[in-house]
Amino acid sequence: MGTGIFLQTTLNGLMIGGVYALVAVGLTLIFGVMKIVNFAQGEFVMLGMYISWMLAHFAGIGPYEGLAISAVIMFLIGYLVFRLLIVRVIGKKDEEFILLTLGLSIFLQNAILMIFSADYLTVTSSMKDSALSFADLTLTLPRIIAFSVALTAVAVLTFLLQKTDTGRAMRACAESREIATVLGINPMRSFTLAFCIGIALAGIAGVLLTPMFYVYPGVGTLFNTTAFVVVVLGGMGSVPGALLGGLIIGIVESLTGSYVSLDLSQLGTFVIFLIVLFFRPSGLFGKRT
Amino acid sequence: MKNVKMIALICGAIFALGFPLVVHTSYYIHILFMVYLFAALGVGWNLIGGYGAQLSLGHSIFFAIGAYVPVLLMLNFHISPLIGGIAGIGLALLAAALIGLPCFRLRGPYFALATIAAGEITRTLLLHFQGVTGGANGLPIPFHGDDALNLQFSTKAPYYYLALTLLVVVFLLVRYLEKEKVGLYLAAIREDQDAAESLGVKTMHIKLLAFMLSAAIAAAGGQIYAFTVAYIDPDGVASINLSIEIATVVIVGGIGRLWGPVLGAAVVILLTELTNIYLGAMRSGASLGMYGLLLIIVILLRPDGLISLFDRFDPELNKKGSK
Amino acid sequence: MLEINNIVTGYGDMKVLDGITLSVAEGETVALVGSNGAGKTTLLRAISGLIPVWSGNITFNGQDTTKLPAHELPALGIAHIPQGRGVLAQVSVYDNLLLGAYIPSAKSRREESLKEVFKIFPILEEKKTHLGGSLSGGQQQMLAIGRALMSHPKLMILDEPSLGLAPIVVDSVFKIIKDISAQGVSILLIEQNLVEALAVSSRGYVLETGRIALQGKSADLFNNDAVRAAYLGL
Repeated sequence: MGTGIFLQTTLNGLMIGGVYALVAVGLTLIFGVMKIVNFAQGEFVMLGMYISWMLAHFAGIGPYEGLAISAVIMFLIGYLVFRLLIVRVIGKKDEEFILLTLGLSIFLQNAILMIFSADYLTVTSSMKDSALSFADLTLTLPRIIAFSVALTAVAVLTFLLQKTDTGRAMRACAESREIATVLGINPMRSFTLAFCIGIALAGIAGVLLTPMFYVYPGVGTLFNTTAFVVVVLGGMGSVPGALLGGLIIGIVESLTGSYVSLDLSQLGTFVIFLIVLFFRPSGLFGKRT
Repeated sequence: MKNVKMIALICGAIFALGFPLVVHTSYYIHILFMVYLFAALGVGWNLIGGYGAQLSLGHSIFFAIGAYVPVLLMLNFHISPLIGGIAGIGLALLAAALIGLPCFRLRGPYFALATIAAGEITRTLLLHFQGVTGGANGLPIPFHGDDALNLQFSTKAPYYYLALTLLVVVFLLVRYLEKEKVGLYLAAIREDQDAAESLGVKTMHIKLLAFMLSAAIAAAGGQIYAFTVAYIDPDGVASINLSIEIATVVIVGGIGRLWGPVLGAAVVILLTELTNIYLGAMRSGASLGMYGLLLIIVILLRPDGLISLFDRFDPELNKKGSK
Repeated sequence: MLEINNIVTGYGDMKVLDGITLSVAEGETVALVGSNGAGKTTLLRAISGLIPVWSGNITFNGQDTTKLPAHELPALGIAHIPQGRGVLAQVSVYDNLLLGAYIPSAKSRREESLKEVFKIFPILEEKKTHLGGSLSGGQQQMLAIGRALMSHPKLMILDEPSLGLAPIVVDSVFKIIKDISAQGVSILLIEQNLVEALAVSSRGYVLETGRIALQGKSADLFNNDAVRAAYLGL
């Protein structure tokens, strides 16, 4: 009996971990290429959720059907944010963009609060209650879809980074803006792309979460903190690290919630965070500075 | 120039001291109370965030300690908050040392993240141990009549003066420290920590000192707040939003500058209250949203804070160990 | 090909270059020597657009490049190999080389260029999947040069190619530089290693505290007593 629950909990954690990984990959991409920590990443997840809700509420488009549209909208939002705000703090002190994105995070949360009120909204999908069962384990379809899409997105991004010229240019910028420049790469283009992709990934994660989570203005905070922990665990700037980190944190959180206490589920995450920060700040795959 | 400053200060003092005697509307007194409170919190935060250049986003921890400890001691053991407050400050100092020691090894965003994590852990724990803290329901402080020793007053005015006193004390303290070695060391650390270290400045000690002092101030503020509003809960006193609000006040006013937090508190609190009044129906979102907006605007347009607008009138007016 | 006219620039309030005039003709190899802190690297960075120029101008093939954004210069035919080789350590050798051909004109003939570079530097083909940072100093230098060649530059700027390399390796590096020069590529070379620098170049400039102290044919500079005393300890 013990193993059954253990396995189910772990499996659930793994599935949600995929989505954490997606958010974290976006965050780590932005950090890797631009050296900016986006403290508002969670809020973009939240925006993705609201976009999904609006598509469902006003256009009758379900979350999965509207995934592509949502992704594009988020990409454009990312572009707007980049051009209006981010571009002005590139190259400035660390504190400035930390504070800028923090301010953005608060602003977005409350702007949404003002527009949509604090009501908990739901987005239904016809697939919400379907599930797959095998042995004693059950996996709800939304979880499976979320996991698969998340992993696919990460795979596509990895392919982009490793095998395309644009991706190579982004990796060059991530390592050294100057070297990239003397090779003819326009760093601003790489930054823009990295940021927009990072935001789009957060938005996609949000959409994937809507069949499983309530949609409300403050929902982003949970994902914010989790994303940071994952990124630090995996190594700032490492996409594989964020993927692995996300899965680990998903499992840890699930297990802590089950075996310790539900409201302390985040505690396990934080403990890991602090351990990593103090003993191996470069994370699993990060470069040792 | 000095004369203008003197006159301004005297006018300000008269205004501050006389306000509750003339104006009796509780709401207005409360607004000024919040201005003084956040100014004091800001002056404290400035020690580590401005002078020390370490962005702490976990100050809510100390505020919460300062709020919960005296309240719990009073409710459970009938200990006067005047004594309970000392315990609160003591615990805050300890917490600051425990957090600062490992965290100061981290730089930049890592330090900020660690303080956020610490803050969230605190809030989670406060919520979890509801037997003691009342959890999400919080702890109301029942009013049984005026009782100065237990910080119970039927009018707002005494609380107003408490906050004002805190601000004045804290302000003078920091002003004094600025000119002392501590202030100079902090300035050196802010410029270039490694260089300062190699010159023999015990950076860890200095930063810890600044951090602990700012924690004590936050705790004092937390206590005053707790007894003024007579109700505390984890989402009110231990949330990351509070930490960000404290930081915002300082940044808007002028980080690393003596008068920065004071100016910032006045501007931010007044602007958010105005927002509340005009966007009345959408209260909660509007005022916090204003915080976010202000932060964004200041960072983009005037990262040195509003106080830098006054610099042109007197370059010596507010220069703090900034070079 | 490259004309630098009375450049004055520096960092913050500090003036580093005080009116430098210098030129590199087509097909020439020009050496820029001088002690540490004289401003050599600053000059290269100014040419590459990495730092702004306070006054004066820079022309390349008749085009004024003074205010051009740095990333547009490679497309004009300038390849800059920074001090320390500028190899991307976390990127594979293969990707490093591909990045060398980032500009559109080079991208189209990328495959051929790669083959040529592998012919000149077979070790790079051997190690093509290895990370740039795992190569030895000398190999990194070859990678840096190979990467620069991928863009078929008209002008190659090298900042201290011999830095941190063993004497044997330095010899082979300079032999390669000579070969490249023989193919018609103009070269501007900063070097502390006076002997090698003047041996491989036709003309030289001596930079001292932000100004050109001496200039002339390399052979003449090499035989110049003042130069020998200052830089060769003779």
